[in-house]
Amino acid sequence: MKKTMLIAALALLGTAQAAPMIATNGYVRFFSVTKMENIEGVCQTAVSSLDLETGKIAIKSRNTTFVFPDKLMQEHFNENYMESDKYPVSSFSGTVSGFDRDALDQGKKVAAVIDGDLDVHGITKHYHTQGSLLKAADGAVAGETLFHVKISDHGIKVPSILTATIADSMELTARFTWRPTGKAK
Amino acid sequence: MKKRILPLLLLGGAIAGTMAILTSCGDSIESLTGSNQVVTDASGRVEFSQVQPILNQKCMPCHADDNYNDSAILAQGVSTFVTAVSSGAMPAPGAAPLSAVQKATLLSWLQSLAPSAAPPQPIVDAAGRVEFSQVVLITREKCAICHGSYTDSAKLSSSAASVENAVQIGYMPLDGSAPLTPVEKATLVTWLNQEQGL
Repeated sequence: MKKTMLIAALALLGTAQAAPMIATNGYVRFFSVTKMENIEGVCQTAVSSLDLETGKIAIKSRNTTFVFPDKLMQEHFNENYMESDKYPVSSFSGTVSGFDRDALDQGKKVAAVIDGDLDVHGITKHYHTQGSLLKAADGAVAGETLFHVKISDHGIKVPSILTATIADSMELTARFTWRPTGKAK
Repeated sequence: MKKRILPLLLLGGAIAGTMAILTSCGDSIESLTGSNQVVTDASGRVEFSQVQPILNQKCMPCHADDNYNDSAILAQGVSTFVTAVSSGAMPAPGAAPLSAVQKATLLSWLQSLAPSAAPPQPIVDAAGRVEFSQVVLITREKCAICHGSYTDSAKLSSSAASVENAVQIGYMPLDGSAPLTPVEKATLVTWLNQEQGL
């Protein structure tokens, strides 16, 4: 009887969906190069969820948590370009697919396709890019990607006098380590 | 060995069948599993298709002549309906009450009809306060998967200001495909404000 109950409990557990994994100290960096000046902002507190079963991924960062080498640059970033009072959060929502799950589970670094919507400055644009995933022995999954974002696509206007110092195309790097939450949906 | 396996297979089949039946029956799965979730579209809005079964089940028995399963009719008196449902005046005493998720679904849909005229109202008790049980319904679905302890009032209360900020600016919930409905947001923020003495 006990065995039957145990099997029944396991059968019910099997019907619950696995929970997504969570990352709370995600690294997001944007970087632009011009002849005059490099611009670099880094956030190390982005949050993300990744569901390896469905491939669903979500990322959010507070714009005010991007740190710049120059304090004045950081102020301009929030006040003049991102308008962080009005648009406090940037987000990405989409899917990670096309990766070899077996190889990932064996601890190999695998390539992945990332598709989704990036919402920056209140304007959402679809992106299709590449990335990689690597699973550690403790079950944590590290992922990274690098792609380019045109700030004009997100309605961020740069005065013509400053186009020599601020490039329209920004290199965006993201690195996350997702860990299982141990909770079911 | 075969004799042992057969009952287990039958049991497995029975469980799978039960789950399938529950999945196809909203009220049953809600009452039996405790699942409480307002179903929304990608933009966080409740569609009329989610509301119509509630209206048919809980309103139409008395209000068939008023056509209270017609969205256009309801749109003409949003604030009246919001007051009646949120205060618990309707369904009338003696009639089958709305479940918490039905109430939240109906209020979310009603308030989406005229957001500028009727700002989202929290679900409150007779004294006008949000009970923690309402907050649990929200946090269990939208927060607990990452913040398990947010179904604990003391834990949530201790970080009320930061949670409120995260909710207000849309930083949380993380999953953009399951945002807080306007009513859920109003309910959660009102409770967090209560905890901060605001």
